[in-house]
Amino acid sequence: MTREKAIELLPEFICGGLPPAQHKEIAALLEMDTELYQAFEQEKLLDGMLRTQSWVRADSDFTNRVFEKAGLPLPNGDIAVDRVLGRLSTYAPIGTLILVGVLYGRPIVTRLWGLWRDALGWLGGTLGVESLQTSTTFAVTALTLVAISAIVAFDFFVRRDHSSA
Amino acid sequence: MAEDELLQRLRQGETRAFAQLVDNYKDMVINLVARMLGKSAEAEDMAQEVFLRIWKGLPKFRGEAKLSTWIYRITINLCIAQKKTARARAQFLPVDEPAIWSHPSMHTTAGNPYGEEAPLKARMEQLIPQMPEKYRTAITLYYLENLSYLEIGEIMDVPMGTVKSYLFRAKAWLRERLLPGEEK
Repeated sequence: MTREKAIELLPEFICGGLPPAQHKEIAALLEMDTELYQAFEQEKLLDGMLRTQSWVRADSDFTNRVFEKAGLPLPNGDIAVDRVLGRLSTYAPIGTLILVGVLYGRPIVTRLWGLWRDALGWLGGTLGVESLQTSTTFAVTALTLVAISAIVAFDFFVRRDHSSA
Repeated sequence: MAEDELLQRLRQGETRAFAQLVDNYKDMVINLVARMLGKSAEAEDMAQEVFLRIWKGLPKFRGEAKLSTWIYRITINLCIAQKKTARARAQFLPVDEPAIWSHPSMHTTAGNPYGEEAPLKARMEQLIPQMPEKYRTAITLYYLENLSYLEIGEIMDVPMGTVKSYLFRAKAWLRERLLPGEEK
């Protein structure tokens, strides 16, 4: 890799966005090339400064002023309450799942395990295989293939929808 | 609240949903404007104008892009238009441009103002609003708003490779002015 190319790739090298082989190559070049190393130091300094720029905050009255300017009536109630309710609606289902898991996790897992064993028994009988290990391997492989196909199909349809949008 | 739900309420003309949108995005917009224009007093006005455009444009927003992408686009387009007007006006009137953090209504949170890099960083923040438009937009979206190359490409309507090239040139532009003599 030329020095110019390496310099071009320095930003991605710093943030770890390069493929391992290219990353290794630049790391080796840095050991040997002082000019490249100097460029790397400059890039790091600039990158660090750009990432920690001052953050400007709108003051608390900003929303009211937008409403005044738009000639809109100020909404009743507190926006902060809306924000909390919004977060609740996001986290409530997750919380419920965790709660159900804690309360009924054990019986559910036991029941699922029973179902899995029954299914393996049925599969073994259908295939004429007596070993539980063979039917497990067969079932896991089949399920993995089904899952991969589902992911590929989903990805295909999502991409198609996006490109046609 | 999920973006879809917020959008649905906004399309129904719910002012409370609009208040929430302003509340969610005000810092993002005001920062972008402040970097693009470099003037605090105008940044506040311009950020308000952005939200007015959003409110008026909502019936036409079809939701093909993310809400934030659309908001970024409106902000950038308005800033570019504003810069053009200011340039035309500057031919007749000299304008004094104070640094954005000198305005009392703006509160800033700098990383470490006493560090060795502080003067260099202050100079860099003054330089950013003077950068060529494309570079300034890319560098602000990447570093300040933490967007990916892909998202920036969508906002600026350019391929990912072009975004990388803008960022590279933007930093070269900055390096030339910040670290003269050390330029490669």
